[in-house]
Amino acid sequence: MGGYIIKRLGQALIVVLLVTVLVFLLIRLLPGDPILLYVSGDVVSGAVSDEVIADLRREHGLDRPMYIQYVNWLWQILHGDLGKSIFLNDTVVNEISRAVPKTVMIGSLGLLLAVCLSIPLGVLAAVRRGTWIDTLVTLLANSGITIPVFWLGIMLIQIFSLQLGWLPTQGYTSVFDDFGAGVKSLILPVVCLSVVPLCALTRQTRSSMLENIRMDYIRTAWSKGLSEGLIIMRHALKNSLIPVVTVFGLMARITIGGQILIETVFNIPGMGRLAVEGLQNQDYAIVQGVVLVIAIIVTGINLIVDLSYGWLDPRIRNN
Amino acid sequence: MISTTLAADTNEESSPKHSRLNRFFRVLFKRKIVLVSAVTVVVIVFSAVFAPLVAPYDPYEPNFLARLQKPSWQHPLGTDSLGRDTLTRIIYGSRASLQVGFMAVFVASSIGMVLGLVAGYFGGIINTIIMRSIDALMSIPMMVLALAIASLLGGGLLNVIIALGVAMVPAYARVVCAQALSVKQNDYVTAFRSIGASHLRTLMLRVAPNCLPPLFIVMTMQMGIAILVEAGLSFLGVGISDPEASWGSMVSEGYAYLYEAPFLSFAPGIAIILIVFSFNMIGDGLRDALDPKLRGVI
Repeated sequence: MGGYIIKRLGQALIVVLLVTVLVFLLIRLLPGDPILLYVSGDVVSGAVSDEVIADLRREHGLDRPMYIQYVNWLWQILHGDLGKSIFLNDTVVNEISRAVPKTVMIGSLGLLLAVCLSIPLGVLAAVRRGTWIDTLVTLLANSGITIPVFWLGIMLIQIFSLQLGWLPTQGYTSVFDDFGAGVKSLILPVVCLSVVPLCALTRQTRSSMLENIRMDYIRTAWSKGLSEGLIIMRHALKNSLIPVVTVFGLMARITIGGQILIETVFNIPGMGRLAVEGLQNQDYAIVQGVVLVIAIIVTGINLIVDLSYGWLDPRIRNN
Repeated sequence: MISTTLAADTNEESSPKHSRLNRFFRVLFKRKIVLVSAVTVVVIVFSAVFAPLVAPYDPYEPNFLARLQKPSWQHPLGTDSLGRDTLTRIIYGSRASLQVGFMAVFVASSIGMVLGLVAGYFGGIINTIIMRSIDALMSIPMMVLALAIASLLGGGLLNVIIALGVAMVPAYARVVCAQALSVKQNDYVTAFRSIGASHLRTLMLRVAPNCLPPLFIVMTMQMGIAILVEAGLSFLGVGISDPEASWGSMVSEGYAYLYEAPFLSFAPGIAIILIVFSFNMIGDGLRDALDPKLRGVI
């Protein structure tokens, strides 16, 4: 298992390094000059001369050759410095560290809710195959993955905030500041985010359980006289989990993507909002920082997914 | 069940090619929902192509006397803040969704196919370089990557297609690479090489055609994803924006008038769900018909 972990860790580091190249190139190769955008208002009024623009460019290191900019940037990152936001007048690290807890809180609660509901639902549908329960669960799961998350958010706001008045329409309150208000502000975004992973995981649990239930070792377990609960939980479910874990990794990525939309709908100042605003302002440093942090989070989740394969299936870790 | 249909077909039909096609359609439409979805897609494509004939109103002409109306006989789905008919704009919006869906999937599958074929066929260091880069691309969520590319390029139909075309490459590259890795081990590939065929000829004539079935399935399934992400981009205001009709920007506009006209953002969302659901179901059907082994994999 030790060798397996080290190998996967090495691969993850290479992926992160490639991501830094990708992010750097993405931002630099596409059109748009942040300095010109920053001073555009003043250029029109004639208040900014070419020298001032050149000074600004030098101050932000944008006058150097590309590869030097990249190496410098990478060096800074390794020292925990993601640069300064041109627009927000604060360091990128400060901005991101304010945004990350909100995004992680909502995202992980959404995924947790999805996992807690989907596995029992998927198992139930598989065990009661062909009954109305199965038909209903499958239909709901197939429809659920097609719902645009931002639209669902708006519909939930319409029902639970505007019509019933139970929950706040927008905003984010930390549960550490005000527990009641915090929980209330979390309910709608978390429910919204959980729908797609919930449906995808239910589908995968069901189909993977159906495959395993037909296997010989399940018949053996039955003929040994084990109880239904034990057969399903210990034998069928554990062997069905690998594809479910794969889908979980995929869903974690989709959930982070969905948070851009959800944070916009509910006006939550998390990573998604920061990315959208950074892009609107063409604020290189913020966009680079946010995309990089998101990519590191995703790579971390993929690493955990890979390691759990090893835990679930001894053949993988010994290979 | 599938294998018995196969046996029955080969008995009935004399021409093997005919029977294979027959079986394909029989398995594809075995589930009623797939047939219903196919009909839905055909109807939506038809109304998108003939939008000027089908739509009851002009999609761009404001009518300030009929702002934010509730659904009625004149306006079955109500009107927006400029008095434009929502049903008309949904019909025109399907043009944006379908164009982005088809074109982005085409771009992404072409790039992904080439990368996946090369990586899978040559293996070794080439495989490592290509697939690790794909991993890096994949570690940026598609929505984030598409948003970054689209907003840096500046929005609009073409830029959304480019953004999604790039952001969706990993799915194709991985599927094709995995398929190419297994196809190249077949004896017919070795045989073709041994009669003197070049790598390029072998790739094009033996390996690539056998990578197509899973590719087609992924293409159908990604149609829905492309449409969803396009709607998301337009919702954020970096995709297709007013006056062009797009379902995502219609939901966004409806959000601004949620209190006065709740129906405004409801209807385009239903349109998105309907078309994405249909493409997903067709994708499921295709998978069962083309390659049932892939059940649970794709």
